[in-house]
Amino acid sequence: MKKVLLILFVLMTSLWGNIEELLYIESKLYPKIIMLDKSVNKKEKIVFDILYDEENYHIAKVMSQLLRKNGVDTRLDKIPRYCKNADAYILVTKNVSERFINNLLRSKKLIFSVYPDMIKNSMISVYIGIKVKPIINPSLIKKGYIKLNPILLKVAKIYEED
Amino acid sequence: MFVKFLLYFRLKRVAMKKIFLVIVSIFLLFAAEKEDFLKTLNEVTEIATISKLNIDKTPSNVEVIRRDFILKSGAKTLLDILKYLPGIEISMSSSGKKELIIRGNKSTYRDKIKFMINGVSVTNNLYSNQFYYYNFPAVLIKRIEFTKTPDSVLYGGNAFLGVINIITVDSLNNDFVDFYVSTKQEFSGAFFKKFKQDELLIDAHYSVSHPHLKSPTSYLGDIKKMDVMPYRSNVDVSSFEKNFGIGIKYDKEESNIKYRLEYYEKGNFFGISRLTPLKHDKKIRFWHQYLNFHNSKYLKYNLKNCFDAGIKYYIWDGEFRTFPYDFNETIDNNPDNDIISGAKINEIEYYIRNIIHNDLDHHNFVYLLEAKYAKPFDYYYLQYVPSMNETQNAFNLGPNGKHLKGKNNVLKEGINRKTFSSAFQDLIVFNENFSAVGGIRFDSYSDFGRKLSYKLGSVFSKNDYTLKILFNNAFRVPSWVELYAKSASDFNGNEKLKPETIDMLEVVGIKKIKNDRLKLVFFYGKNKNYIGRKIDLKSGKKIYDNLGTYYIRGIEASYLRRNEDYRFDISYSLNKNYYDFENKIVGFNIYDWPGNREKLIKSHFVYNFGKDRSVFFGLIYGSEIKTPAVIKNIPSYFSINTNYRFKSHGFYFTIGADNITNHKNYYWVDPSDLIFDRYFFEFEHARIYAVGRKIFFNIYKEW
Repeated sequence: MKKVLLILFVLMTSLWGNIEELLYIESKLYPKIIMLDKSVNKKEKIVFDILYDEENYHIAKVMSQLLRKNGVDTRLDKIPRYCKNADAYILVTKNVSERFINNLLRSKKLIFSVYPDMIKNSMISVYIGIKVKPIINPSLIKKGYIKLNPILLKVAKIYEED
Repeated sequence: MFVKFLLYFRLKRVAMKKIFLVIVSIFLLFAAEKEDFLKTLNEVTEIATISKLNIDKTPSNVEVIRRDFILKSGAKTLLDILKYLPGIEISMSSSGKKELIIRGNKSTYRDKIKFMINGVSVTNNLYSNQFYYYNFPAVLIKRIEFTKTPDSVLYGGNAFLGVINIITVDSLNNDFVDFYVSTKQEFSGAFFKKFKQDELLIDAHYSVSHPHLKSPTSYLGDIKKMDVMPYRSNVDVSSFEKNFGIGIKYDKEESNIKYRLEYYEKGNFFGISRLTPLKHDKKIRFWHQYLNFHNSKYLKYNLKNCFDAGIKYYIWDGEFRTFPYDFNETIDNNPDNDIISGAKINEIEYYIRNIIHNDLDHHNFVYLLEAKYAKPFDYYYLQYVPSMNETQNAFNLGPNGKHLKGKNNVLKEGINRKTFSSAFQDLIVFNENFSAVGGIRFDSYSDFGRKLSYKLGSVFSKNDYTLKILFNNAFRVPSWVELYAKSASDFNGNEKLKPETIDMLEVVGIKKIKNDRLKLVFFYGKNKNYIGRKIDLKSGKKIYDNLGTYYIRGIEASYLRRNEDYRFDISYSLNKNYYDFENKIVGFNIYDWPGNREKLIKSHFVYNFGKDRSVFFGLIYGSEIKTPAVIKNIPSYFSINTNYRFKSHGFYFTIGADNITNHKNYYWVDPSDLIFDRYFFEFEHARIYAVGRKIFFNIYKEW
């Protein structure tokens, strides 16, 4: 497992590109990552709960459409609402309280972030370098009692706070 | 007992078999999930590479302009966007053809770039140009990728000074309709619509413009008498241009079919012989169409095969008013005495290409095989003088526009071009901070021989710094005009031409901190076997030849600051190019003056007032163009452009002005070719005017 300390500005680099393409990449990748979560029932249709704030409603809507094209169900919830029965959460916000994250952690589901620089408040996002890789936050994965397939840990970048 | 034993053994075997099957199924399921995941990782890496999200990490020098900027800049056409890029100068030749001067390289009639629409090259074989696409509507563009690094390894011939790839709007964009009108008699409309759950995409556009301009006074020069006299005073002219086009894309699983038509029609503008047409301006019409089939398939999670096959069809059809046949005897300004010259040439190209991408942990291999067949067909030359009616002579070569073929044809007859290419490239990712690329390509052309191209490059990144060192050897294919033209004027082909080559070294430094990006580029290029025209001492005609070496040297610096509220960009570029043609040119050498603006400063500022309102300011400055001592230098170029964009009742409205200060801008025009080996025309002070202040209004509605 590669230990890489990622400083915030490195993650910011992906935002120099267009958010549209970033969403497109995430919409393809996140449904595959969730299949690597050992607790997810793979026989039923996966449901992502997209959690947004007012400023990011449009982005959340686009993400929902893109995910549906990739064969998964979605629902949209304005923070602080969320659905306990969802298979995973996707945060579409740059301002989220620790309390809200702790509430989500209690449901023991994967928490993704659309914005790579918000990885500290989520479990998984994307890193866009010469190759695209998932970036994972091990401390939140541990707190959420998530068991992931080792292949994810093998290819992913690991986020550690300063 | 024995029966019981057998039964027990049999039951156990069945149970064991079931357990084994369950284990195998789990293993296969796990393996399938793993493979599916790794395949998706490769797919998204490809998306990031194609959409240039990771440009700072890849070994090439690419500028990307995205839709958000395109819509907010108030740009009407592709060139309105490109003019903001560092090191790019937009210019115009005498007959009104728009030119892209890249890194100071002014090359009349061909801009020496590979021009692609959605990955399909639309550069023609006839004259290796593509200016029929320069008015392509900005609103249909999703992204522009301008690779300034010559790259023949991946793109083949003509990726000489770089590659422009225009990505049009796609299934991720909303349907829209757009209208534009300006005070310079410009009108355009465009729409984009998705059908059948986004499997079928259609876009279309139409534009017409005819701004009124004052032409410069034309002078007649006589090199024997060493005399120059006024010939035709300035007159009101209209620079007529019309475009329309349609694009269709049908996607089905791993395959797609793309069709695109672009039509461009233009008037003679200021005249091809530097002599403004007086009436009945003649027109040139260009049609470019392509039909491309594409299939991409993962053979393994890390092995992808891409196959393309297609057909391209190009038509050049037009006439020019050149000059009055009796210009040396009577100056009566009778347009019916004009020599009308022109041609119609059809060009067809068939191609197939297969590319294999093999993406391993530390290597990204690309293998390419390509074959093309192209030929001109049904082509002829025109040359007539209307006032001479049926009288046939050297001026009225084909009375009343008779189609001239055989010895009078515009190109050698029976020509074609067969091309076979193979290439290999490896991108080696040593670690996150260091990668290198190496590639080699072999091209075989039936009409001028073989060519080997290669490239080497590396990218180092550490924290917020990136350093790229890139070396590329690329080539430009001589066009059919350069090889086979048989014109009555001074366009004469030379079948002994060698392809132009370029060795380009670029050092690119990038520093990023949060919202700021600073980029510095040094480049040094040697354009060997430069193709240009010179006077052939035997025939006395101007013919194409490999003239020598052209040095392309300079720097580009740009700074970008961007956040959610605003975007600010400023760039500076300096070119110190020169020709070294070692006595190849006899007499007056126009190549002593590269005709470019050595220094360019560009800046733009976009401020967003929330999501639905923005204001844009753009500034473009170009230094003087140096000219021969007898002519004053062409003054510096200066333009401030601005617009305000807002949303109301579901419509976006943009109102703006280009060249708001109405600064007098000019383009440099060199003298015409020699007529009867003695005379030439030239505009007063060797310049033509650019369009002045323009106020425009645009409505855009998406749903």
